[in-house]
Amino acid sequence: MDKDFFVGEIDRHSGMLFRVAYTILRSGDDCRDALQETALKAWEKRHTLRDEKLFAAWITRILINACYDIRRKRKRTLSLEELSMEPAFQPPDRTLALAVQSLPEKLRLPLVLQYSEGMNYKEIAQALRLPESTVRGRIHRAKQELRKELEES
Amino acid sequence: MKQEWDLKNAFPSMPEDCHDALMRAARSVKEEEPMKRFSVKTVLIAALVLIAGTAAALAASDLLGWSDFFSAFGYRIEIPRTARDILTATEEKTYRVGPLTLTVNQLMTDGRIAVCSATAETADKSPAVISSEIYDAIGANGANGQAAAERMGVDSTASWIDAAHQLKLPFYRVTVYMDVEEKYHHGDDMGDTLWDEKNRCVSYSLVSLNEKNVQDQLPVKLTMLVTQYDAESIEPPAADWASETFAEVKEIGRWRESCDITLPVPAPLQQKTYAPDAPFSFANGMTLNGVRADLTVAGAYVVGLFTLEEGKDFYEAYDGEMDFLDQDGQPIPWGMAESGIIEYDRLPQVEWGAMLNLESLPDALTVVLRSGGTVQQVSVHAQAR
Repeated sequence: MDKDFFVGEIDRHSGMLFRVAYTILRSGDDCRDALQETALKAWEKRHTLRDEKLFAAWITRILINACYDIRRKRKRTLSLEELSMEPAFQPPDRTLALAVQSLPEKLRLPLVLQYSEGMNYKEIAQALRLPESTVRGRIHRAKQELRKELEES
Repeated sequence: MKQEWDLKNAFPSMPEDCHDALMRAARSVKEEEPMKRFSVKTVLIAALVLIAGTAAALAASDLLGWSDFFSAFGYRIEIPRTARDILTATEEKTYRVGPLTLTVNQLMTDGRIAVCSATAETADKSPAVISSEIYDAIGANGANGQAAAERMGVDSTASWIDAAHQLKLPFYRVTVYMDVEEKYHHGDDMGDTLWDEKNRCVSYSLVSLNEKNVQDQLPVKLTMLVTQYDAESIEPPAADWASETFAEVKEIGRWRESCDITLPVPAPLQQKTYAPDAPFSFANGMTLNGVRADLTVAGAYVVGLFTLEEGKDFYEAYDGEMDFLDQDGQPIPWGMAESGIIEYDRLPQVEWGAMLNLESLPDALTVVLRSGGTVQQVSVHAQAR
């Protein structure tokens, strides 16, 4: 992988990377740190990407690890109430945003990767290191939960 | 293809400073081999002091099973009585795997899926942190994870290994899975975890089976893996794509136990075929000709029998979601398998459906397809045999 390809891919996937980081960290500042760390770590680990077509799933996995690492150091993330007050948090659909954020993370993350980022089950399974069936089950469950949340909101 | 929600609308735009920081970092990398960043690892493994446990062994009935699994997520599945009876009649068996015991308390197959639940705790009942994950936040598992964090007295955003570190307890990762011979296997498997009121770790495993090859008995190899990690010297997670494990985790013990089990396969309970008044063409290019339903002890496997319109791409047509409604127009929840059924080896013939949570097959049902921003439905009626 050469640097031009790397920088281009990072730019192309930047929106996706931000949303994935936000899904886990719920804080703009933490997202910035996680994204920077991801770019540096990904370059360092570039030899582990065996097929450039898998770039999105590969860097998502690196980002998820970076997010967990930051969360581990921060010890806490914003609550839903705090989240809705954060000035930077101005999603186009606030009801949908709060409903998504209310899902357990293990359901939220695969749902976001599919519905926001258009990843297929196989890519999500690679990014999350889960069996494809588990991903299917979690997404199915997440959709049911999200519908329920939206009906109640 | 339009989806039910555009989740991009659930996120704020990426702040400019965030994008700039990311791109600055990306552009700052050097073409030459980067200098290896060594992390300082604790060389000494601190002796793990096991605090004497006071927890008495719980009665067998206190072990969580599959009904708890579905209710823990508020998922509207009530396991059919026939399956519940088999699951609760499972003869409990406890296996010693290194410093842990794993009690297999629910195990069954209906010939299409095989399920198992097993509870892990320390053999001497001493406190420990036991999980199927290392770096996941404890609260990532929803209300069950939140409750586990509260019981341990740690923040729910802490990871499992962090909790062990904070509490100065040993940390064990547990993996339980079932293997079946290739000829019985149909697709990959599903696994998940819950924690009970004693913070024992309950592993749930599900294997999907090729029912065409399953006869009246199913040989299963049950494998239980326990790995101990050093919570004192653990490093932050490494993004090592090439490896299946986190390279920087310090593993200090690994144990494995396998056993062969033969599960009886109950005979199918009922079969029905359904038909619409006339073949129904959905907007995605699939025409529904009929529906086949097979009832087993675990639920009903209901598939729509479709013909794909000539010139239509299967994957585009399949990018939708199917549901089934009962005779009152209420959605029928998916069954224990928690996944859909799709067969497209004989295009343009397609079988698409789901395992449903039913105890008997109705005389009529409605097939609903959400696809491309449209929702269409058609009723089908049982045919005389």
